[in-house]
Amino acid sequence: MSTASAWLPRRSPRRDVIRERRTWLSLPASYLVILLVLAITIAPMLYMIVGGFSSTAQLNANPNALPHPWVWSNYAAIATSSIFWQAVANSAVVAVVATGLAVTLGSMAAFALSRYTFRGREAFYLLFVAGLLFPLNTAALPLFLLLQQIGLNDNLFGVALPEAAFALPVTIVILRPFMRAIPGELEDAAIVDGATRIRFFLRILLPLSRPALITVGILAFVTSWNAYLLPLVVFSSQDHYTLPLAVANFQSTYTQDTARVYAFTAVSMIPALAIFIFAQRRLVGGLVGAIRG
Amino acid sequence: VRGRTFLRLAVFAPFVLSEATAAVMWYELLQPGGPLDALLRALGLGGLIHYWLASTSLVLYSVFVVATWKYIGFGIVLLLAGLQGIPPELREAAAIDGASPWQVTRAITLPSLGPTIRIWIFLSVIGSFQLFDLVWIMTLGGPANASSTILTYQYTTASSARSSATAPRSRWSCSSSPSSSRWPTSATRCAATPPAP
Repeated sequence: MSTASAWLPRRSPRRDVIRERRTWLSLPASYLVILLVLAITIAPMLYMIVGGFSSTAQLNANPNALPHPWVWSNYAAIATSSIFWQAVANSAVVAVVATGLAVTLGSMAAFALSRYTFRGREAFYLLFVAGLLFPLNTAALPLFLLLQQIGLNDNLFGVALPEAAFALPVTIVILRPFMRAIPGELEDAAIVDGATRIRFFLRILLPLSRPALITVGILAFVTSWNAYLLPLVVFSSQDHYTLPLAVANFQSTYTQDTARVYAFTAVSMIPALAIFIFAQRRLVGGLVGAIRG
Repeated sequence: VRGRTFLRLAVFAPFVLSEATAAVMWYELLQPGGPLDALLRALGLGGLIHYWLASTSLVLYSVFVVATWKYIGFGIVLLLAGLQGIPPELREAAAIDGASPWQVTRAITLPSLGPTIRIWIFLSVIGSFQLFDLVWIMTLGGPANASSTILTYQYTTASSARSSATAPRSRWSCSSSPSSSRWPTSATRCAATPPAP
């Protein structure tokens, strides 16, 4: 039993007795390993948060001292700055549009691909699966040229639409098996009761697929929220910057004002961490499921 | 072990951050004379201090460590799911047959994790090929292209080709007037006139 298995949910007290005896790492040792891992993963983030309470002069004097006195002005300046809120709003608009489109279109495509029989169905499905091999980042430059031609350059939709398109493969790959597993008898019953196929889709299939829809929705949202390259290529005016762009830009603009950069970075972690804590189970489960499915 | 949920959250947290945020954070931490250097000095390891991001021989390893920091949480969660998929009976049976804990790990746990480990290697390789945000923000692919990846190379090539083809060079420098046809080069990374915060 490795240290990682110490994280497994316990099954029964009796079994625990057996397991506890069969460890090659004693309990204190595994605590030590855990503390070490914690320190490595969390410390940099904590450092940013605490560092944001210092003043730049304090940081220059001794980067690793606790703030003395604690300075609130960095965080206050960011909380009242338009840069931060504008970026959050832009990120939110882009992510919501991209997620909405990906889930709507993806569920419709998955419906057709799972409950209809037609020639070339598997070929279409494979086409979507192949989309998994083609990440958005590699397409950013051609997309830029395309967006310029259709006039969506420096436009929030210029980012949201491609992001939705590139979120479709994962969405469909997760949704199709899920919709397939819903028994055909339900569909038969609905049709006997006089429902059309569209009505069956809207009233029965979609509600039943809710867990999977939430998972793909969160996946699409987080991917869009964190995207950097496409927004970097598409947006030229700072009014349109999404949060990742704003953070990078803020850092290169205020290079000398370290404390303020720390504070901005720390604040920009909050939305992502909030989404994560809110959707932890679905996100982790969805990611792992998507990999194994 | 207590606080399991919290631990899991903590380990997974870096994965949730955007790569850009993580990159800015580590860029600050790895500055010469910055927090990491100060920490090393405080620990009496001052001799280990290097130009983490400015040395051509070291920069790739710095990026490598940061990328690992960012993504290891996902690997751990994957392995966790894999571990939970191993029926405990297997390990118990081996233990009853007299296998030592180490033997059980080697002969049962590791082989059962094979597919998970394979997937994780696969994902890491794919992800590394697509690395852009981290590298671009921390090093711009430099110094002297020492850390350029496929995507940063693509980006710099495209922007320089474009600037010589269509736009006068002055447009690319860190001019404060954004024009809509401007190809966003490293201009986004060089300080223009600071906007009022």
